[in-house]
Amino acid sequence: MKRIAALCLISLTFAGSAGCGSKQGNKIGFMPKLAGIPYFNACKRGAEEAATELGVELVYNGPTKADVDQQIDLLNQWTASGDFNCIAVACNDPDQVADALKKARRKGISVVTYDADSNEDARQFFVNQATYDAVAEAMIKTMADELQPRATGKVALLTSYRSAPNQSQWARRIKAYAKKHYPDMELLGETEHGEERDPGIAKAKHLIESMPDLKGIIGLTSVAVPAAAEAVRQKGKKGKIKVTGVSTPKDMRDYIKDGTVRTVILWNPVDLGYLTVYVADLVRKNQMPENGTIKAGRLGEIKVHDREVLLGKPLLFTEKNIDKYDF
Amino acid sequence: MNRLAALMLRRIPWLVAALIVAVTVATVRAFRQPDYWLNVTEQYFAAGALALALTPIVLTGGIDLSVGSVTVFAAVVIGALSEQAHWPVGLAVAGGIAAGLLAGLFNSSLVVLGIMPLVATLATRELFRGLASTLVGEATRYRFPRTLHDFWEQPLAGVPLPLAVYGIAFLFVLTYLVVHHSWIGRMVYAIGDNEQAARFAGLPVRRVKLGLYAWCGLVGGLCGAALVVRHGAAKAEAEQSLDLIAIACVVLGGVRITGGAGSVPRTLLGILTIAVLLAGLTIVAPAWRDSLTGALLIAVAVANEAGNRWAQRRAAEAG
Repeated sequence: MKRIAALCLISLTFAGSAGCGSKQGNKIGFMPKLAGIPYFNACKRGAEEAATELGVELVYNGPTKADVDQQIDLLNQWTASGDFNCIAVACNDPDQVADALKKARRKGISVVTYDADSNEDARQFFVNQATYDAVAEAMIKTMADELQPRATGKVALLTSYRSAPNQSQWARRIKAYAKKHYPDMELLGETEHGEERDPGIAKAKHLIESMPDLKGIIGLTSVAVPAAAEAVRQKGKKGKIKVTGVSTPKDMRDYIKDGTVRTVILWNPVDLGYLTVYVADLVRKNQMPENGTIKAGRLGEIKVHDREVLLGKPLLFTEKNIDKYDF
Repeated sequence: MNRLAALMLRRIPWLVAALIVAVTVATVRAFRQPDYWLNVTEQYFAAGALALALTPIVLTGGIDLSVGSVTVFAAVVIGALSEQAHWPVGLAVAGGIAAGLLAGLFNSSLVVLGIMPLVATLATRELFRGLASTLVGEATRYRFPRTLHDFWEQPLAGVPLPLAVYGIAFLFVLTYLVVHHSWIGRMVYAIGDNEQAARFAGLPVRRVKLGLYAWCGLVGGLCGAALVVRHGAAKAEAEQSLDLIAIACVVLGGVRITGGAGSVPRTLLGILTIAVLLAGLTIVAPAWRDSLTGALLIAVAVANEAGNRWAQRRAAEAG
């Protein structure tokens, strides 16, 4: 009998502790594209900081793979639970998550996207880290600078999926910008590697092996850049093949320190998470203007244009400043 | 009092599982939404269906570790047939289900040839997942037209229900009838109790096993088709933990892994426990979900063990 009692008690304690702690009315669900990578961990840190300042409850949860189906499952789960007032999500695919987001809207849940947008009609506001033009320009200009004296030769683009929202937008702009300003540079079509590091390295190695005259690789995700750098390092092509793109200082520190990569581009993901929660809170309270400016805590005044909130300009990380950032 | 205690002891696994379900459902507010229950069914129907198909296999003392891979393989075959071979979608779905059945037949022929089920299906688990990867290849995933998804929700008396609800209900009734009210079920228990004796008694052990593993493959094929309809996509790397969740449901329900003991309703309780726990904790404590689930599974396993030992002691005393 004692044993039964003990078991009952244990399960009660566990289940009990699971059930407590949800305050009514101000719960924000904050979802990354993929949980457990440095970039989104940094977003989460900023989001938690803002949630504490605003006194709202924040739930952070996301797919364990950058898999749009997993993300849709979780979004539907949040919606069906009736527990959330606002959902902030970085979308893995703009079209496919749209239905799930609209379902949430129909149930009266506020929907904000950040980092990677959905279709515009599926969300209320998008918190953009930097404009597509600014990021794409920063990437292609950096590559061109590193190819000096002459910006010529084959440059490959390494990405997760061609349909990924940010990546497809950047790729299009990079190609257009190069065509106009660096006519001698030959940009190859995007190579897809999914979300994992190992296939990324394999695809980058394949690019290097199959094209002896390859001059550079631009990585469009925080996984693709270190994967490309690793491939260049393993193939002994340091300095001969330039690598740049969008990634985090944490992912890239090693390669920047040993000179495989000179410059990486990003924005401050902590600030992005912070701003997103501020926006989500304003949307939840129906105080978010479609155009104009808002006050976002320590970030000060932030511009809003056409339901899009802009964090600022991209940051460039080099050997000189990389140690100042811990994300 | 003694008799009451005895009754309680025998029901420990039931009680602990039921308690976990009750407490979770009572404390997580999301379960007050009917929508959430439908959502839970959508999330875990595949694991549940596979657990039901696995139950008779485990009752014979066997195992099929490849169920998740077969499911994904079938889904990818559907994708390849419709996107690469340009078959009409309906035909491609039938092809995928048939691929699941073939995969199951392959498993069962290995088992009937005398290879240990654990070894055989551990190998085919890699084999079918690998085949799926190869098949998808450069495409990384298949996309299906949006219209396919409309098929997912079917109205019943005016309420649209996900296809999964019908599937799991049908499968439960079918498995229950076969395992507990048919000669197949009696043979399943006989094999699990003592395979040698069953063989000497002239039971068609091989044919039963052949049927069970093939059936499991067919259910895998159906789950693959259902996932395609639900997601409108097929990927080789999807559903990595499907097989483990399915097996956990069976074992948690108290089906003895060495065979001979357990029942279909108990598997259903196992499915319910896991689904409710995972779905509940996803909402209230996502960071703790897996560790808490693990801890509670241990509690149920301990309870199961206590119940089994008591039954053995009772049997020994009686004998």
